[in-house]
Amino acid sequence: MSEIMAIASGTWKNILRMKVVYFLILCVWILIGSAALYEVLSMGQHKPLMIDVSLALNAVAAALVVISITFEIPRELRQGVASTLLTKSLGRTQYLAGKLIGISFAAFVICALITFGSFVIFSYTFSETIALPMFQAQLLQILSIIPMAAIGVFFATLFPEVVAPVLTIIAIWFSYSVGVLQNIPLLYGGILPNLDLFNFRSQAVYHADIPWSYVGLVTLWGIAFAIFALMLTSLFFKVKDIK
Amino acid sequence: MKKDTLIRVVVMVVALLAASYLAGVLTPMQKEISIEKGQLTKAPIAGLHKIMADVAWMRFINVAGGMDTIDTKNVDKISAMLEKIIAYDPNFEEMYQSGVLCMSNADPKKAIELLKKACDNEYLKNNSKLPFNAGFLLSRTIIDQNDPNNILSTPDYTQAAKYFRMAMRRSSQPEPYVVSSYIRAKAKARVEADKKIDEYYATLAVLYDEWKASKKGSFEGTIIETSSIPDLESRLLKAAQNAKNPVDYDGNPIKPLPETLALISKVQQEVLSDNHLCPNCITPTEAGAKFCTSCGSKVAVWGTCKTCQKVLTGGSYCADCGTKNK
Amino acid sequence: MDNFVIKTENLTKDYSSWLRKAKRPALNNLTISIPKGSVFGFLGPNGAGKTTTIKILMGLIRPTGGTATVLGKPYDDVEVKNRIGFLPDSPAFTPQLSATEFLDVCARLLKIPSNKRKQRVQEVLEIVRMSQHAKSKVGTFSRGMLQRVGIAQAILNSPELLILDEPLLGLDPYGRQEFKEIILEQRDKFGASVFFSSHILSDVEEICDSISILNKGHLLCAGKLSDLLSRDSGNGILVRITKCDEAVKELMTSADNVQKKENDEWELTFKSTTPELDRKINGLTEKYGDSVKRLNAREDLETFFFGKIEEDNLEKA
Repeated sequence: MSEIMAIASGTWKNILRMKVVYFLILCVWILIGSAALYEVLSMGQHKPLMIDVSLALNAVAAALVVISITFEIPRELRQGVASTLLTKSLGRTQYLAGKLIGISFAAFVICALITFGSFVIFSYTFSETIALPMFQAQLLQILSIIPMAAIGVFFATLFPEVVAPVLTIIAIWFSYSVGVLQNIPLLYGGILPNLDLFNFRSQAVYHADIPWSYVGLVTLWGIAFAIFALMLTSLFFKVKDIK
Repeated sequence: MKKDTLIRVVVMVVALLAASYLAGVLTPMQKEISIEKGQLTKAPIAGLHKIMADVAWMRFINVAGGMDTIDTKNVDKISAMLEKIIAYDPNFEEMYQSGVLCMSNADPKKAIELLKKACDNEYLKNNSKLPFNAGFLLSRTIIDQNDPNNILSTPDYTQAAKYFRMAMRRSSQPEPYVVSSYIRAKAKARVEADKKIDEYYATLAVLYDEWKASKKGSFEGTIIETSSIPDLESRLLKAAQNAKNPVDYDGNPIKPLPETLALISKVQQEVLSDNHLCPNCITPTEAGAKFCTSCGSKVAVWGTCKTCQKVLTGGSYCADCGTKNK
Repeated sequence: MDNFVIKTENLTKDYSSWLRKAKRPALNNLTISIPKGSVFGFLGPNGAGKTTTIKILMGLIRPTGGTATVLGKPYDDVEVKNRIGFLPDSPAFTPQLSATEFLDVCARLLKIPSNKRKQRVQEVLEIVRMSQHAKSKVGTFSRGMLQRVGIAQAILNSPELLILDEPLLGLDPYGRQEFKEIILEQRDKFGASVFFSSHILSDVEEICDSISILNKGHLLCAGKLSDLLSRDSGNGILVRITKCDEAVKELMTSADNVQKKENDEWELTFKSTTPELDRKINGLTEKYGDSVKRLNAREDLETFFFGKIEEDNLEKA
């Protein structure tokens, strides 16, 4: 576990020290705050608009952080950082697990900052307290990072950095657009990810509570899917030549 | 197969089965929590339905605001935009309240259809404006602005009454105009169904039925159907008064129908017996009055001392002779 | 464990991709044994298969055939890596981390106890003269500085075996000298064996006691450096003449190479001997005593290396 956490800490530090991350957060806050200006344009719908914008941008930010891993892992493999690390007593699965945990933690921190900022902006703008469903919707958004990061690690490990981000975006996009295949659990939710299970953006606006049992179970699903994706990735990664 | 590969495969299969099982549990749970999921568009928009609804709404405002008028020529565009918003967010309250009304004069049927959808929406079940708007459109004749011969919709009072009633139920204290609209629509539906009766009779009958329903509910201990009409008795009184002295469309007095008179008398006996009404014009009489101040008919005297016949001013004893009256 | 730190047997690697099914051989039946405590130079031109061999030994790539053991364990054993220090050919590290932080990550991976980790990181930074850049981000480092951090992470665990791929590349002459000292210190102080590839033959000659030469995936030769260089000079001889111009004049005309050294010393090389030349040299030895010395000729590594490679290329052509 210590090896995994060593890789994880290196990964999250590497991401969280990039200035662009804080620029991204600032941009997101500004965009969330600007929703308050849409009172007339939206015929008084600026309050739900602000909630929607904060959730949508948080999802985009999470996806962007995950996509960053699809650049980082192939770059580490190409440039030799991975060679240096993997020639220590570190298994390849441990390396992948460390990357997964590191990227998830970095994305948690970034999304939590966005969420906190959005709550402050919302409370200040509308002089209202944050309703539980708003918090729950954001929490689920943050938790969705776990399977998302696993998808990112999968493509990042198997494909070069030109292809991996594109494939990851497509995969995340379609994981949220589950459609009719949702009714086949082994396929959608098992083999294929169903990120729509984390999508409760309407609940935040309509203030409908989400049972905590659901939040717990969907977290377990995220972890189970991440383990599945990680093991699948490691089967390929194990036989991959690191040049 | 090597041992570590085997371990990986086993862990992967176990995780896959666990994820599949959990997905199987979570999918119906999610449908229960988020009922509108099933109604959302299947278009692959990455779960960004809500924000897409906002964007579509603002685009609608922009487009509709730029139009001189919304009529039969351009209503399809507006209708398509609203349909799109619903596909993204079937719970978009403001869209139903303001958006749909924008197109009600140009395509009332579509507007009614959308409002009916809104009324059936679980999230909007406490909104009383939506069923009122539906009832309002259902109770109107709407003519094409560009072609007066083209009648776009004719009233359906039965349906209108249903939605007005829904509006009343959704409000703890329904607005008087909602109640009046309901009574009027229901009465008109009755007239349509039975050509022998007039609106005076129908209105009184509607109110009488409501009163009976409310009594029935409370008498039997279990509520079968209770009326949500506030001031039911005073409305009954007013309806009875109107029915007793009906007028035609020009305001000329006409003779009440025999059925109406019978119903008035029934209402007087059952509902308004305690109200000290003039038997002729059904106007409430004042304590000690011997004649109706409205029509001059002789009325039963009430509220006087049984000894000195003076009007009682309150309390249990006559202020003039000191006789105990109750 | 036997006396060899690295042993390969018929190690073969062919590269092929999903798209191109045609195999590209990188290594062909490589069989070498590196004795414990040696400084082993792994030589070959670009594309010879040196890095491929090193990466196989470090478990980064899988051989197509053959076997390899490192410190007596299979090449892909994870635990044995705790006892190895490795420097890749172009070291790159997590750019946003400082040198200290990156080395701390490496120390954790090498299971260095937490109470000793900080101190050890400082020690190795001191050894590679990077203490003043300890807090700087690795992403801002020059090639030479990266090489220093690379060596630092390689010696972090005081390894039994150091595997270095082009460790002297990108270093200035001072840096190269320091590195050579570090490498030799690892052997002398900690008894580490060193296996390294390099293109800088003079450095190899200076610090290695054994070498092997690889060309196009084939092993051309392997063994003790001194043996190889003397053996390969054939029946050539070297005559060293000190302060005796007469002897020089007598032999100069038949010598293949004449070099004047310091202090009036001359070195005359003869590619082969003849009975007449033998008689002439023996006569001069008797006449001038210690001023004329007959030695077996020894090539320098560069000549030896190019000779071997050209010979192999000609053979294959």
